[in-house]
Amino acid sequence: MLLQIKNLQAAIDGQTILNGINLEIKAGEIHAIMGRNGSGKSTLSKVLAGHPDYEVLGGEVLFEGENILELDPDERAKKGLFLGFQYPVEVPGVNNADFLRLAYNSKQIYENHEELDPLDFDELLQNKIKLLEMNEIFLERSINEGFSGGEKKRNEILQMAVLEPKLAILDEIDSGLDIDALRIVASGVNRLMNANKGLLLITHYQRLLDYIVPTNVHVMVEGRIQRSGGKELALELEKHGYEVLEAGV
Amino acid sequence: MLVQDKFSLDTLENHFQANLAKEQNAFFKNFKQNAFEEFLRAGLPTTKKEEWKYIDLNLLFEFIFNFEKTNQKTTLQTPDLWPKDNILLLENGNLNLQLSKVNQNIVFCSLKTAQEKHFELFEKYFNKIANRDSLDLLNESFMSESLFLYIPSETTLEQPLNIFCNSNLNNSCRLLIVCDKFSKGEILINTFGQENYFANIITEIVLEDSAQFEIYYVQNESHTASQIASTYCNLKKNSVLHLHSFALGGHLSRHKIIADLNEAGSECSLNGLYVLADNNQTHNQIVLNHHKPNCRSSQLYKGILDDKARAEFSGKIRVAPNAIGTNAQQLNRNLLISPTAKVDTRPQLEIEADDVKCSHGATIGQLEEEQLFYLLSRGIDLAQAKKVLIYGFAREIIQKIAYLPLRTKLDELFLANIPIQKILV
Repeated sequence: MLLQIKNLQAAIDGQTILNGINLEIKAGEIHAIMGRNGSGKSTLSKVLAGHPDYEVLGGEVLFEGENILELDPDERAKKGLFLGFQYPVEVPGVNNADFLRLAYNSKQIYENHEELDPLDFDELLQNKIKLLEMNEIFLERSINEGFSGGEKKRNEILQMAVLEPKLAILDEIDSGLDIDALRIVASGVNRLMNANKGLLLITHYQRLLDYIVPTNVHVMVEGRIQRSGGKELALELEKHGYEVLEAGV
Repeated sequence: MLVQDKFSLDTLENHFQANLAKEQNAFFKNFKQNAFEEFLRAGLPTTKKEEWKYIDLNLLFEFIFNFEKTNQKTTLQTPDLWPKDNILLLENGNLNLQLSKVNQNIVFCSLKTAQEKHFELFEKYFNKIANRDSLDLLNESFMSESLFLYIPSETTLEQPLNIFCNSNLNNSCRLLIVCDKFSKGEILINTFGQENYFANIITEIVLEDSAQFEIYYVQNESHTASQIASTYCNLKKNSVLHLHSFALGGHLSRHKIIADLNEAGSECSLNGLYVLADNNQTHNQIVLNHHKPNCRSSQLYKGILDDKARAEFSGKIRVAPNAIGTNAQQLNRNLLISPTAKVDTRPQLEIEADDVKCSHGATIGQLEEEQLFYLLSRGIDLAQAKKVLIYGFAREIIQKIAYLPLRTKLDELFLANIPIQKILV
């Protein structure tokens, strides 16, 4: 089992957002969580990654059998958890390629592997940017600074491609992407996915799921998973809207 | 003992007279005498004056009145100089001609030699500063042999010229740098030393018509020393000066820059970076005077403060009534790493002309939580993430350095100055 979430409850600024989430992801599975704005989808992703603003009130999160709720965000990342941000952060003055190499080498050190020097890393990077049809100039710019919405999202997937996480949580990776960019990003994600890895997609729209086909779909309502099913659930949702589902039909 | 007695003008005067008795040159004897009389009229700095308001004057006086540090017979070590080429070395304010070597045909000598051998130039350029403060007057009263540097018209420095000021005793040094018409180049002024001396430095930079210079002023004094520096820039028609000021060392330091855009079409940019930890203090005081039409100026100063460090940024842009078409910008940004660090920032505009474009601003902030989380979420640990963000903040200034080996050197110096073990909370 890659990820087990048991009765997870969490709050921000004293307001409870997650009211007991239960979810299991096995290697090779692609899960999609859908739901309205404010249903707690993004909160779940932030809590899993260890954002300090969120307070865990109860429950457990086991990653490969180990409770990770006490771990710092960087330790979770080194164990193979990755969060693709809904709003990637701009970091002026920090070179994107240097940042990617630092992140990559942090993981190498953690796994007792050799660090890569800038030249070798550049070679690795060249292959990864081809995967996402990215322009090399993005490597020499500051992290996400002045990037368009679509470029930021591609940069998230580039980081995922470099770090090759066991489980990636992609928070609205489709927002702000036009149809061509969506196709490129989705094909990049699909190529990074394999039988040993897991994927958790958080999205509003069925559209993304035409490109990255999920094995499991969940509907989140008021901080709980209201319904779970196969990929057909997403189509049903598209057809009838959230209201019908929330009514429990 | 009362503070007034400990730091009395009488003691200072005795010390001055003893010093003056050693001056052989009649011109400088007279010059120093006048300067000291003017100093006595001005008096020691007081916090009542705007420019001294934020400076720990007791601490400053401890340095000034430490007369033991004026004529001790200790040997001054010359460290491994970097770069090794094209250098002028001043030791406690006196030019060491044996260790100085310059590859090009320019004039460099002590002020005394300038007064004797290059009288016309000396007469034209020496002692032309209006409005000296009391520490400037003290500098003149005790002035060392110092440096006169003249770059003839239409001369391009093929290599950057490196001026080193090495100190281990109290000294008052003056660097008079004249760049004649259409001359061009890069100059590094690197100040450093050993132990707890007081370095009082006046730098005068004259850019004649269409001269273009990049000047890097690196204050890397010993952390137990004090440096009070004044830099006066006089820009003539269509001249361009980019002055980069770095404060990396010193227990108490001040860098005052007065830049006068005296003729039309001149352009001046001032970039600064100060990095402080412990209980060190630095003060950047800038006055940029737009006297004539169609001149441009910009100021960008960034500060990084840890522990109980303190900094002041006082930046003023003055636009004279007839200086139409002025374009002036100023920005000071500060990053406080620790809750006990403190910064006073005062960006000011005094505009008396119409049709000008001026902007100014200041920020004081901490490391941004969302940026930190972003780096952490990629597996970078907290100490490393902080270091990356701090460096990212400073990089904008370091990247303005055109002299590439210096940029690399400052990168190293700067990274060594980030107290990484201290920022591990």
